[in-house]
Amino acid sequence: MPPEYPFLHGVRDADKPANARIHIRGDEKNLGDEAPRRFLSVLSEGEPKPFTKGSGRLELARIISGHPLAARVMANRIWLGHFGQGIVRSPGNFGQLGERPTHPELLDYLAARLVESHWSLKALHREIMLSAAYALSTRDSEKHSAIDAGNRLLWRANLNPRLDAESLRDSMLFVAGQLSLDSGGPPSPLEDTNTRRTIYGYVGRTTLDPMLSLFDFPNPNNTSEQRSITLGPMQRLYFMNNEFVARIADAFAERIKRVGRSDEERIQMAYRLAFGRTPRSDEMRMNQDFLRATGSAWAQFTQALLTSAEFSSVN
Amino acid sequence: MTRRDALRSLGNGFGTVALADALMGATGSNPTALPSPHFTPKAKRVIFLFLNGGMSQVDTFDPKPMLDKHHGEPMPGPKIVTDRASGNLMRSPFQFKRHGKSGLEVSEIFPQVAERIDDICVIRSCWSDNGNHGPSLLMMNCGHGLPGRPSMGSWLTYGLGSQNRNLPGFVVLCPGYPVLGPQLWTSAFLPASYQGTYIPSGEREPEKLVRNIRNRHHTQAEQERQLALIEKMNRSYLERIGHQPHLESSISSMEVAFRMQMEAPGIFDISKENQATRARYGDHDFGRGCLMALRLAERGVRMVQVYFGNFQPWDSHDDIRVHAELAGQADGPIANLIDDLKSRGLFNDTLLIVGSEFGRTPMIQNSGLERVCNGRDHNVHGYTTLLAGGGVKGGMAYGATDEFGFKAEVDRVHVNDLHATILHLMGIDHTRLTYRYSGRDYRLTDVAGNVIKPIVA
Repeated sequence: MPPEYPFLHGVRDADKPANARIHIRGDEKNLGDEAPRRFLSVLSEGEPKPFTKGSGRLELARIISGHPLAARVMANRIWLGHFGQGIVRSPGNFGQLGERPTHPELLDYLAARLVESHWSLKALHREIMLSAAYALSTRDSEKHSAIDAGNRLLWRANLNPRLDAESLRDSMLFVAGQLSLDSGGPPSPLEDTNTRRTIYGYVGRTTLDPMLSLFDFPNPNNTSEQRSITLGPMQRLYFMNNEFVARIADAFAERIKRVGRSDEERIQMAYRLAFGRTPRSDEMRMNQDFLRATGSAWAQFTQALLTSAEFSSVN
Repeated sequence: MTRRDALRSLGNGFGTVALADALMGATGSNPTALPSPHFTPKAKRVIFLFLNGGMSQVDTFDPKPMLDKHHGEPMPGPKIVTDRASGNLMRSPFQFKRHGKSGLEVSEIFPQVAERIDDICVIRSCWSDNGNHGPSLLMMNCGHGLPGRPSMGSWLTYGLGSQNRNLPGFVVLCPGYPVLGPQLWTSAFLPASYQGTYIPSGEREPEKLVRNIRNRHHTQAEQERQLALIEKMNRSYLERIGHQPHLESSISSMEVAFRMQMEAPGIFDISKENQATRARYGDHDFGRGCLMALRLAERGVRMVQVYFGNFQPWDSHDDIRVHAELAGQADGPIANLIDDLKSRGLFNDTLLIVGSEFGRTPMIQNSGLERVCNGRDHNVHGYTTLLAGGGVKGGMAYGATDEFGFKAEVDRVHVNDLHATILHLMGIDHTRLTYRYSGRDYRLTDVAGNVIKPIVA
């Protein structure tokens, strides 16, 4: 047998499925009544009927995918990914304790579109990203701010204060010209030499990769419907001193030095890669001054770009 | 501005409560920017010395003469379930003596702590739910026996912020890992910035103690010049996009990072303490951890937790006499920490906790698996925790176990009660420090917990 062979975990019905008993307060030794296998009563009209086919997994899946709530929850999460907030701002709770949707008709429209397109996530992403709301600028307006400071009505784009851990690491590899776009395959640890997209990184449940953990990757032992975003000094220390970042800054510097024919062209290229825009004339001067003063410390310049707030935030 | 107002006014997408803390922290050293406690706190910080594995109460701080009298006899009364098979009662191999003005009895294996017993509140009636290390460690650290709840240090930093923006608010020291490791200092569903910062206290070099604290490529002058450029880049970005409070906060954290880089390595470096001080704490992991805890407390770290050692050193199933050796290492550092907290003016507002996930049975363990048969099994029914400093009455024993030291009987203190009391001393009403997750408001004390008023000074 080879030392590592591909495998996939699967489940199949037990021969004689049985009802579980309630674990009171989560304690497996403190058992309550038997809980029949059936759909949730809170989401059913009247008393739900017990499942009859095997374990009932398939019946459960059919009810979930046929329930309007599933499409609404999914559409809301896709929206959340693009706008930073869901139409329902408590993505994990559409119940009494959750928030009310800011745009209920829009949510139902998107949910219906999702079902119509046979649950094509790509189609829904496309429709959202082609909307006028998605194309809005982040620009502030005193008039609108006075009415709706929280931007619940989506009069502007929400500015993302920081990319998530995966996007940040991918962006660094990308600007250095090292990002591998290979897809699929087993996960591997996020060592400094690992240039694959971060979603293929190995996630340890007991000890999370320090970079992921530093940038708010959720605890893998808990469910998480939305990333929290923290901004702290430890994250800036990462950009300033981490070996992986130093390596990326070097490769980024080599890349622009190789391609650009003049300092000006190199700075322009660096700005386009890192920020998706060209530098203004005063920015150009400031960077030229830095390079002159440091005797062309290109890697220090590229590391400065990576450390800056603009690199970490989407615009 | 209260935390709630800050949260309301945020609403600008992307970000939950953590952003509010980051925002308030943006004002740096301004203490009014910290979230405010519910009432005037007695203690500003916590040092939790965790004797992981389970310190035996009847061999340390809960003397039971009845054990001497009934040594070798079966424990009378209805059988209480223990983790493994228990045999007959076993007297302590150690002598107890009265100490201090309070006359509290302490075992001979803690001679230096005994001399400071008038500063210590001995809670003899602690109890917990599950006799296994995992669930009990989770209970003691996170207030619930199952994984997935935030740790006490995370709740404290979430509720109170950090007094020193140049250092993490919650620091965990252990040379390696205790059983369960990072689950014991997890922020769970609270934002990740509230998780404990783990420091491998066995390391001697500052760079290995704090990640990314040193730059291996640039000189300080080079880095300062680079930071000046970054500052210009950030200013130029802000000009372009207009007023964005959370970006401004991110930018200010840059300056903090630079300061931290200068200060933090020295703080973790105990060689900065003089030779005599270091000698008092002893040249072993727990001693070094306690000295580091002192230095961190001095600089405003909200909670420092020191694990006695890797895995579970106090788990004396085989032979309870091993406790003498363990106590020999714990005694000096605990006593010296009390002295130094006092001499540095920190004792009155630092809450010192010394305890384990559970205690041990007064009976001999009788599982047949162990090499030597002088051991004691896990015991969640009754055990001892010590509190000292910030707002706690010293020289006091609170609660009592039965006459054999097995089960807490008088003034029983569940872990939830202990946590409620710790939060109370820190100025927090444990029923009001909540976080909404998965459809309901969670708190450290779950749905229980009563403040133990009689021990509050």
